[in-house]
Amino acid sequence: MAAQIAVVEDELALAANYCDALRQRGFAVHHYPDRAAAQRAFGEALPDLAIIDIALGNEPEGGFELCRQLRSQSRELPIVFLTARDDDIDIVSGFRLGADDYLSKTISLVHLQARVTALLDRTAALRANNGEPTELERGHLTLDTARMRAAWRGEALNLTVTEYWIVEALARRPGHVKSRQQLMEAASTVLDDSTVTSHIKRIRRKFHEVDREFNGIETAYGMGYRWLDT
Amino acid sequence: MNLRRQLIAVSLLLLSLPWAGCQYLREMERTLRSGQEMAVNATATAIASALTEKESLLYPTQRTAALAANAPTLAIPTADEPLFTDGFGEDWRLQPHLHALRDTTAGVSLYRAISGSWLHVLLEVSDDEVLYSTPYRQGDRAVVTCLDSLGARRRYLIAPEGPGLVSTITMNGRRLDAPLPLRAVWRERQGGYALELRLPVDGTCERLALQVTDATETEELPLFDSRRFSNGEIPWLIYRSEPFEQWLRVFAQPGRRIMVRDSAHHVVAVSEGDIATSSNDAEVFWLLRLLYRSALGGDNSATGDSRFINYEEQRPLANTGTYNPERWLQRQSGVAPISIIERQVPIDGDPHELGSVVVQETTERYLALTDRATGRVLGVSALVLLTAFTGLLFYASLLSWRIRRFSNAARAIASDAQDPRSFPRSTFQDELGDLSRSYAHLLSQISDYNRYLKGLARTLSHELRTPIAVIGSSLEHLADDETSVQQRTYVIRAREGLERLSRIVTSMSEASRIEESAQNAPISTLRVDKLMQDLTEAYKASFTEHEFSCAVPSCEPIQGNGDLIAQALDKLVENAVSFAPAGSTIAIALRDTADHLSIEVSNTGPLLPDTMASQLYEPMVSLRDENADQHHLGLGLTIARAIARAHGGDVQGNNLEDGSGVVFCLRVQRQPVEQQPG
Repeated sequence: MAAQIAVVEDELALAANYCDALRQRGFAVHHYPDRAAAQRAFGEALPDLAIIDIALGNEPEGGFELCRQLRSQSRELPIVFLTARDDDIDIVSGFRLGADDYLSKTISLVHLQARVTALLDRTAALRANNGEPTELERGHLTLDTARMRAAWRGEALNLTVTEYWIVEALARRPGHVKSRQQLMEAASTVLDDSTVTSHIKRIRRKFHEVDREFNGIETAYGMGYRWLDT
Repeated sequence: MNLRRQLIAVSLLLLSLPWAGCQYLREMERTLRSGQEMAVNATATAIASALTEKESLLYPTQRTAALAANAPTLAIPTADEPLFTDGFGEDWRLQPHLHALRDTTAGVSLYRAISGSWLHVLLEVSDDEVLYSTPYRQGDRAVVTCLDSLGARRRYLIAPEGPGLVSTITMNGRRLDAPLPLRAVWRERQGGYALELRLPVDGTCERLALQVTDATETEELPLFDSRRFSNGEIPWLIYRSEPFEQWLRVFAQPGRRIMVRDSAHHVVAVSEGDIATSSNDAEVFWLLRLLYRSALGGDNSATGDSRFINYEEQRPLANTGTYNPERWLQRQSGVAPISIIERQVPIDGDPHELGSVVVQETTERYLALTDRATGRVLGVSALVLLTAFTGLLFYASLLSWRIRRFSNAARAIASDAQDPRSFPRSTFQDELGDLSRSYAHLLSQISDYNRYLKGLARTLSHELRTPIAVIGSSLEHLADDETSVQQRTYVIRAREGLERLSRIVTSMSEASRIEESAQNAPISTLRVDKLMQDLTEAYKASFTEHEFSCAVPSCEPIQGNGDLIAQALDKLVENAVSFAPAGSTIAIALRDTADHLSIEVSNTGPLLPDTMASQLYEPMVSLRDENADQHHLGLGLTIARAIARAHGGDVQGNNLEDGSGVVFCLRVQRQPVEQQPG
């Protein structure tokens, strides 16, 4: 059965484009133009993945509210924010509410499709909870490539898919400098340089939460970043 | 002229206070003076009317007023100090008012004085040869003729037989036995002799004449006759009578002098009150008095009958030789100028005027009063002035401090060093307070407006992003579908245009986004020298059309955010690359000062215009050629400045000294201000 994807977006033309692109991938897509409609539907049955805009109709933060409710209904449901707002504060709020990813509306459809697929795969892998985890070990870093989970010194890191992809790209070739362009490709996203920088910033912060001494990601000024094996 | 000085200048108007006080005091002094004048007048009139009934006091002898008018007189001054009948004239000369009558042709000086109840006479006679009497002949001699009021004559012959006390005196040709009624001492002196006499004042000698005869071996010459001073007649003696003065003493007062003159203007009684006994023990220092007098205007002594003593005007009194006003005044006042009030009132008699009463009073009493008042007025005004000056100075300082605070705050805000919201809002309910509040309100409105402008770019970019996403996703669908080659070309062109639009929209909000993230950027130890070296290598690879030179000395690490500083340097280098001609060298340098690191990027190329110096750093300001193919929003310097300020520094652009290009200098503080950890 095709995965059920809910798109909550008040911009009808954009929503139609997203829905079309996802349907082409074989997903079952439902579109809700505002929070009330989405909540009614989610009350009856939960989708497999939700793509939510923050500003919904005349509610500037309706998406956040919706995310909070969805998260209370299900801890595992992947939630992706897809929004025109790219302020740090919005991004931080989004993650704090338990979103799995935060995407700018400038993202291309291809990248969106890749991300949705990856998130669904990860959820499936977590649900299956069987078979040997495909692991990649780099010093204290442990990567579970199937579930897209990372752990540092045995403690799980709460990375988004984008962040996981960046960490994996860096850790696969320790010592090698990955340019921002390469990292963007690895993370299936087209972002400007400063967005890569802020992703790195957030990744480092998440590492610091479990290890204040962490300095595994080094900035090579003017070139990019590299993983340092410690 | 600042506010404080202006207020102090205005406060000089307070000086009218002591002036007004002095005007008041002058008025008061005038009143006091006229009061005293009236009192003097009343005293004089009272004495004069009392004396109308007391003719005998005025004329103790039988001499009547009518007689006094025509009869010859001889004024006898009163001695202040006791006189000794010893034939020496020194005690006389110590009292200069006891001056002599001189007969220059005869070479005789005649001194006379009353002392107590004695009449003293001193004759100094020039004589080449003093001849004493012997039993066989008479030598040099003097004849004293006394008449009592009835005309009974006593003629004393004094012909000494040697110097010293004369023991043999004949009266009316009869030799007198001891005790002698008069004492006479004969003394030889240089160029002659002196004869001193003492007679009792007992009514036997109301008229007096003296004759001196010079005797030689061969002849006798009448040398001197005192009658020559009084038209050849024996003059009546005029002297101050003790009983009269005692009677007059009733009217005496400190600082007052009463004189009674007879009808011939001879002073017959004087009563002098001593000023030293007056209540003014706190005598005003004369210099202070001079100050007070000049403060009060000083012309006060010219009013009414009073005046400064002019001794010339006192001549008729002085000529009598009976008293010397100059001495009295000097004794009363010391050296200070003194003014007196004088009033002369005639004593009415029938049928003739009996004489006159002169009352003089020093103005010392009310002068002292007004001096004290002046002193107090001046003191109080000085205190008031001091208080007012201090108060005004304090008030002016407060005002000018408040104004200066506003102007400093306004200047700080104008120079962008301070948040406009920090403008001090005064809580004072006055005009200045209103002004400051209006000003703060205005500034906060301006700052709101500025914030709105900054936010506008951001809001706009957010709003544009959705339609861009619609177009982008639609184009993606178009490209996926089966399309003709021709259509595909248009789709590609449309996507190119859209990408460009998307970049513009992103960079529109980039500046404010970086400003925000710079505030929250995590701080770590950072080696700026290494960062710059790394970046220079990267630039060499990226910008192949330009050469890069790197002059970076090693320096101590600072606390900062490497990503941000690298980003700022990127912007400066991009800027330099876009202006520098191809093939030229872009110089990157680091300078290390005590509290700042200074990163400099210089390039050859067009110079900075003077006019836009401060606007360069504002967003959307670009000096680039408008036809340049690449879009540019002029955000580079805005971003660089935001990053520098987050590190406690700034960005400054200048033309190179040799005029070949420009240099942009990014300063960061060594110890950045305390920041919230992100």
